[in-house]
Order: sequence, then C-alpha cells, then structure tokens
Amino acid sequence: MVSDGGGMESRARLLLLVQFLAYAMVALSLISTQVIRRDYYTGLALRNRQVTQRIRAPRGIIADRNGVVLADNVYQARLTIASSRAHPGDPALEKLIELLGFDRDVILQRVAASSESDRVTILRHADPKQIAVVEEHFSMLPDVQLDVQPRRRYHFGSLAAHLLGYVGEVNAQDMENDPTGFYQPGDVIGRSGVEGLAEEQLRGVHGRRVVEVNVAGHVVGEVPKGSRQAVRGVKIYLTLSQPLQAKLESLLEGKRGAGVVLEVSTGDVLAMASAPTFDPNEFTGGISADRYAELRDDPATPLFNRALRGTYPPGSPYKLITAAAGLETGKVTPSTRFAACTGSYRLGNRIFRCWKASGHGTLDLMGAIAQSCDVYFYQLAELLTIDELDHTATRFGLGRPTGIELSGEASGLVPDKAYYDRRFGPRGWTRGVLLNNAIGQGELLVTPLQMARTFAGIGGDGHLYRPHLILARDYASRAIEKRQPRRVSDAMASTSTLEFLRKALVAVVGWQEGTGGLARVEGVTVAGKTGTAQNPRGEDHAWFVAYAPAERPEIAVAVIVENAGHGGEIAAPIVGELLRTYFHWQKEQVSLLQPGRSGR
Amino acid sequence: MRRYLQLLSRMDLTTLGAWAALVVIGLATVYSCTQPLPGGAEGVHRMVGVGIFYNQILWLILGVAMAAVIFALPLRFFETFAFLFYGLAIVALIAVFLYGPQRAGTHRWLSLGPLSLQPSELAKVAFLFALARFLAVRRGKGALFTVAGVLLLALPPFLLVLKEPDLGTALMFLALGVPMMYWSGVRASFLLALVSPLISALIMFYGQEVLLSNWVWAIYIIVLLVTMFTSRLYMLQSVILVGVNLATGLGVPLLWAKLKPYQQERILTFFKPGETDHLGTGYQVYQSKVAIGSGGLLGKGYLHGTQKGLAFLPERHTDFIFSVVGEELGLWGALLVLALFSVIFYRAVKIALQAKRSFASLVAIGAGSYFFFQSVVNVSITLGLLPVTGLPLPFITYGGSSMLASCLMMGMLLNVSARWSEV
Repeated sequence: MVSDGGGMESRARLLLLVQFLAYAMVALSLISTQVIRRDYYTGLALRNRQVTQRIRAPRGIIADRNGVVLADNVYQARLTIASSRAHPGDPALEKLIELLGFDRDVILQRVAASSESDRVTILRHADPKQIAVVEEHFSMLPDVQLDVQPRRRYHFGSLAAHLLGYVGEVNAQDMENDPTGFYQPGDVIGRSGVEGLAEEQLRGVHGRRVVEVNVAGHVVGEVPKGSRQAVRGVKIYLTLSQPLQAKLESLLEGKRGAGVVLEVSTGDVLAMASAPTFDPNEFTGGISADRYAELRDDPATPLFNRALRGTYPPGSPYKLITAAAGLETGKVTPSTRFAACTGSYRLGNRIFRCWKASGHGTLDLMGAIAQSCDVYFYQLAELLTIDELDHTATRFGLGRPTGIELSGEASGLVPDKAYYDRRFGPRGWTRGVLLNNAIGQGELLVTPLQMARTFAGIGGDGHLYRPHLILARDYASRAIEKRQPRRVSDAMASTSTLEFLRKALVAVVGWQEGTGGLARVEGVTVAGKTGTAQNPRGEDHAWFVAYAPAERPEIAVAVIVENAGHGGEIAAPIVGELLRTYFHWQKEQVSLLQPGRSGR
Repeated sequence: MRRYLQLLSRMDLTTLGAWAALVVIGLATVYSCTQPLPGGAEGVHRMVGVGIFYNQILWLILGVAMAAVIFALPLRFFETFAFLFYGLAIVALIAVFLYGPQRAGTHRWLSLGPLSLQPSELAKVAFLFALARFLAVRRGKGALFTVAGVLLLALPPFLLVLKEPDLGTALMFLALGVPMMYWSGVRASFLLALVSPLISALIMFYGQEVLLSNWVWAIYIIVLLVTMFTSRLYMLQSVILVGVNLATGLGVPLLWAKLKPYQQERILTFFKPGETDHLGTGYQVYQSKVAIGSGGLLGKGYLHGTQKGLAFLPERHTDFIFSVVGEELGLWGALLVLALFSVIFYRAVKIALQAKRSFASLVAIGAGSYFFFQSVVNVSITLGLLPVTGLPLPFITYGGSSMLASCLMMGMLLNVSARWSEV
C-alpha cells in the first residue's frame, strides 16, 4: 500500500508483533499441557480406559458326610449391558433384543427392574447359540459384555432342599444389614437352610479384575496391577447321608409329611425330609415372582420344612412319656393292671374312647404300650398330676427346640397348669385335659425332629443330644474342624424305667398283637411306637417313631404322614423299608456313616 | 492461458507451500478420525465413517477449483462487486432462517441441491470485500467515522449469525475489522482505547487464582498510560480511558465476590471450560486437554491416538480436531500447525505491504487476519484457554463451508500476491 513514509512498515511490525505474542501464548500453553503436565494427562487418559470388574467368588461346596457333593457351582456365560445403555431406544439394547429374538417388553421390564449399578444383566445364562449370535455381531453391540459367572447348582435337584436352602440375589435390605459393605448389587446371598446359616463361610471373598476397555465398551485386555483373585468359599460337610436322604424322600414322595433319621450316639442328622418339596435350583439366579407366589401359596406348603417347623399332636408315642411319669413317680409298676378296657372310659359325665371299640380287656403296662390301649392310660392319668406329666415330657426333650443349627425350629407345646389357667381361666378346666394328654392328644404339639430325638435318647444312653446338621467346615488350608456330639440333658429317666420302655417298644413291633408289626426287618430287632394322631383338620396323622437295632441302637427314625390314617398301617411300613435299606447297606458295607471315607 | 501461467509464476510460493502443508495435515487427520484404534474392535458404531474423508477430498477439490477461478479474476472485479457480494451474503444469512433446515436447534445451513452450506462461513469472504472497499475509501480520514462505518457493516452479519446461534463466527465479523482498520490508518491508540477495558477485565478475570495477575494488570495499565502519553490523544480522552480501565480491572474481582457460588460456577464453566465440570460442555474440553496432554512431545503416533480411538473426543473431526493433531503428532506436530498459520500471516502482511492498490492491500491483511484469528481461537478452545464458541480450524476441520471459505480466502491472498503491482 502506498503509504505516508515508513508508516506502513511500522504498522506491519506491530501486527506481526501482536500475532507473534498470540501464537507464543498458545505455544506456551501447548508446552505446559504436553510437556510439563504430560504425566498428569497421561494418567487421566489411562484411567479413561480402565475399568474395575468384580470377580464373584465361587460359593463353598456343600457335601454330605461322605463327600458326595450336594451343592456346587457351574460356570455360565452371562450377558450384560452398561447401565448407560439400559433404556428403551438405545441402539445396542434394541439390536440385542432383535438379534436374540427376545420379547422386547420382557427385556425392558427386566432392565428397568435391575438394581445393579454399572452393568445390567440381560441373560444370566446364555446358551451356546446365543453366545454365537452375540459374538458374531459384537461390533454392533457396544458396551455389551459376555463374561463367566459362577452359578449355584444343586446336584440332586430337590434332595434335602429344606436343609440346603437356596440362594438369591441380594436386595436393598441385605445391603443395608451388611455393615461391612461386602455385598454389591447382583451378588448372591444364602437365603435359608445351610446356605443361609453358613453364608459367611460359603460366600468366600470376591476378587477384582482391572481391565482395559475400548471405545465399544468391550474388554481388550487385563491389567495385572490392582487385580485380585477371588477366594472360594469354605466347603461344608453335612451330617447327612445322601443315599439315606434319597431313600427317605422317595418313601415320602407323593405324601404330605416328614421324616427324620438321627444317629443315636451323636445326634447327627443322617436324613431329614419334608414332603412335598421344591427344587432350590429354581431359586438360583432369581426365581420369577409368579413361580415364587405359586410355591408360597401352594396349600401343600412345599417350602415349609415340616421336620422341624411342623407341629403335630404326638399321639400314641407320647404314651411312653405317660408310662415313664407313672413309673418314675412310683404310681405304677410294670405289672400294674387297671380295670379292663371295654372300649371306653367314663370320667364324670364324659366318655373317653379307646381306639379299639371292642376293648382290650385287662393289660399290664407293657401290654398297654404294645397294643396302645387308651383306656389303660386314662386310668394311669387319673393317678398323675399335670405337673408330673409335663415335667416328664420336658425331661424327654419336648416343648422346647432341640437346638439344631437350622433356624426357625418350632418348640412344640407341652401344656402345664399355667398354660391351662391362662387359656381357660384358673377354674375353667378339668382333669379331662390330663386324660387327653396321657394318650398324646389335646393341646400337645411336637415336631418330628423332637420325636426322633426323644426316641434316640430312650434307645441310646438315656441322654438327649443336640441334633447336628453340620459335620465339618473345611478351610482349604486348615484341617477339618469337626463338631463333637453334645449332651444337652441329664438322664431322661432312671435306668430301670428306660429299660422297661425299651422292652415295651420291642414288643410293639415284635409281638403278634403289637401295633407296629409292619416295621419289622429281617435279622434286626426294631423298637418303635405307632401313633394315630387325631387332629381337627381332617383324617388322622400317621406316626411311627423307632430305633434299631434294639440291642445296640444305631439310628432313630421318626416319620409322620399327614391325614393318612393309622400309624401302624401307613407310617410303620415306611420306617420298616427305611431300616431295611439302612441295614442292608450296613451288611454290604456301603459307607453310610464314616465321614470322609469316600474322599472329597 | 499464457497470462494465467504468467500470473501463476508470480504468486507467493511460500504461502502456497504453507497452504499445501496444512491441507495434507488436515486430510491426514480427518482420515485418522475415521480409523479405529489398532487392535481394538473394528467397525465400532460411534466411529466416524471413512465417508467423511472422501467428502473432505471432494470439498477440497471444489475449493481449489474456486480458488483457481478467483485467482484468475482481476482485483477490480472484486472491488466493483464488493457490496453486491455483501448484499448476497446478508440475503443468504436471512434465508437460513426462512428456508434452512433446523439442526440441533440451530439455523446455520442452506441446502443447494446435494450440497449443504453454512452461509456464515462464505459471508466472511463477502464481508472482507466490503470492508476492504469501504476502508480503501476512508483511508486517512477521520477515525471516528471509519469506526462507525465498519461497525455499521459488521452489525448485520454479526447479529444474523449470533441469532443462528453461532457466537464464535459472529465475533469474527467484529474481530476482522480491527486489524483492517489499523491497516487503513486508524491509530493504534484509538483502537486500543476501544478494546482496552475488555482486556483489563479479562486479565483480572483469568488471573483469579494467579497471584501475579494483579501485577500483570498493573503493568498493563502502565503500558496503557505510556501509550496514551506518546500518542496524540487529548488529556480528557486519556483520563477517561485510564479511568474506565481502572474501574473494570478493579470492578471484576469485586463483582465476582458478590456473586453467589452457583453463578460463579456457571461463569467459570463458560470461561474456563473443562476445569470444574467434566460433563456437559466441559466434557469436550476436558477430553481435549487429556488427549493433547497425553500426546506429549512426540505424540502417540499417527492413527494411534487412544482418546480419539476410544471416542472420548466427541467432536474430534470438527471443532476439536486440533486435539487429535496434538495427541497423535505431539507438541512438534501442534507447533508445526501453528507455525504454518504464522507463516501465512507473515506472508500476508508482506503481500499487503507490497500491494500498490489499497483494496488489494486491505484484502491481504483481512485474509491473513482471518487465518490468524481462526487458528488462534480454535487452538485456544481445544486447550481450554477460551470459551467453547465453535470456530473451525481452516483446512483441517472437517466441513465443506469452512473449506470453501478458507480456499476462497487463500485464492484472494494468492491473487494479490501475483497482482501486487496493479494499481
């Protein structure tokens, strides 16, 4: 530009100076960012791409006393999506639904209901075909991940379901109740049974894995630093014998009832069943609300463990306690005979009936037990006070929980004077209640587990033992820690009384006139007592409680079948079949009792 | 034809070389934006398709062709039709609101058959012609009327583009006027007086946490005083000017202290993006700084930018493309880009000095200033030094309108360099 002297030159210099300063300032900022603060930004760049994932520890294995695995884990492919994409309309989510042919509403509902924070599970168990489809289209599915997760598996399905319990996903309340902060959404927690009571050992220690994530949210590599292995949960051995448990359950199949098999010398639970039952595998990985409601509201109550939560009138097996009360107080001797049984007994203006309408005639105490004569025990009850009877029942372990590890055990009910005063008023009841109690009816309630334990005590050393379900906990590196049998009572009765009761129980099964003939086993003397418990809700409950061999008892068994009729006809054959199987295996030297013989 | 070849032989080869280098870097970087991280998942859907790379080549061919046409036309042509171009540009800017499609709540586009253009970019070229023509006439005349005239010319496009809304481009219309007015003879002290209170406020604002900012401001005030003394301003004017500067400089911290925390937060988010908020607007700046910073001295290598590759850079092929350069080519690559723009400005000033015709000289200064402003502001935004207002980096940012406008500017600059002797 033609200018006024050197004016333009100086203007050009100023412009160049200004631009130089501006570029210099930007360059300085670049140097500060790229040279001085480089490490800082490199750190940020790396963190953008690293994600910490939870490695869920496999739950501890649950095995029977011989190491037969009842519950372990399978590893299965889990399909998840980042929660940032878990909303309708997201291309990755929609593509996934389309590829796998899901019902869109179902998936959207599942996604909306998820409590997981960073990733939402679409499929807990992807089958090989689904895995193939997802992997083939992986590039179109950003932030979708396939990983492997342990899943609880119950090998024998419903076997021992009530004892093992089941697992479920943690909910908000679980996390609130967990001050250690162990649980995170999506974790598994033991809900009932052994799974629940040994949760802290079974759950193990979760690990973590630091992975490098690419733009698509797909894992491209693992960063060793910061990763930590998961530690498997402790292995737990139960006192159960899997074959015996299976036998007991098969005998109860199709019925409503319960059965308990205890080892007499230790109180170990060799088998415990409640029918009907359920399959805990259904709970693993989330049971649908509908299915759960179906199980919960089933009138047959499959989720309810009748063996220790179910309370029933004891019926005739209770006559042993009445007899013991008479003997211990000296009110009767084994040879005491009362007026002949004519099929009924009159107290004041009330008639009390014997189960045998034609009457038993005159009997001594052993005959009365063997033939289960009600009239004999009405007359015996006339000699007893209510205190004497309930005191004896308490010494025989009734009216209070046995103390087994499982939670929710029922106490049953042994009514005492205070109970009747409370219920009917101090003058509102008569000695008639005592007559009913004497034959195991009235307000009395017991659990099958209590009955099995009482009989184990009678057949054993005259003491009660705490029943055990957990035999040992195996801390991978440490030795097996084993529970010792624990006596929980003084002697139940005098030696002579116990001796008499044992003889009477042998007579029940062995005598021609005995009510328990159907429980006989070739070559083994069985001692037991039938029971036909009247109840206000229909048909009588059939009881049979026994131990064998009578000379040196190994196991005690209690079986109840609800609303099925006579104990001698319904329950006794079940116990007989169970004992037959047990002693057959004993003879064949099949390992049933020795823990750990067949290895782990 | 022979005349055209003659012209070609006279154009400034340094400028041409810098242009070519920028075009190569630009194409390479746009291509890189379409490429996934080596070893990562292929075909990642958030990746920018390779199609934009071919689009960019087509835009470049079109741009170069138009630059060649412009190069061939005599300067008088542009001077004669300067206001016509300006008028057409205003019409186009109005048409944007009437006929243009709305995209993400903005009116910036006009469709011409298969092409989609932003008139605001091309309006810069037309505005440059009009400004050059006006200032060529006003040379050596009263500064006050010159400034008033320039404001009058700048205001329509400024307001129209502001309404699109596109703050960055709108401000360009005001910014381009300053160096051109200076070149046309308006005194530096006069221009300084116009912008000095703004500079005062900015120094105090950006230096909030820096202890030295008060000193920097003090030095600035002293420089201002000296400038006033040496210039031929009246006493009253000088006193008013210094007074306004003192008021804004001291007022900013006082006003700042009076604001509620959430108000401060909002202002900080706008003026210092990427420092407090790592989501929203700040997210881009934060990611951009992480990308550039982690590039280091030598960069992560061409096509190996992880931030870009992992798509943490949302606008990586458009306004934030410089962060890909910084990440992959490192400090040297980034400085090279700045140096190339610096060379273009330097040559533009030389060409302007040489040019005999006032209009031509002013066009050269204007074109040079265009490249200067665009590059400095764009790079400053990627470094978090300036608010995110959205301004493309010439020849590097992906986009047709910006490419065409930059090519036209370059065509004009080369035109002047070849025709400097024309009167």
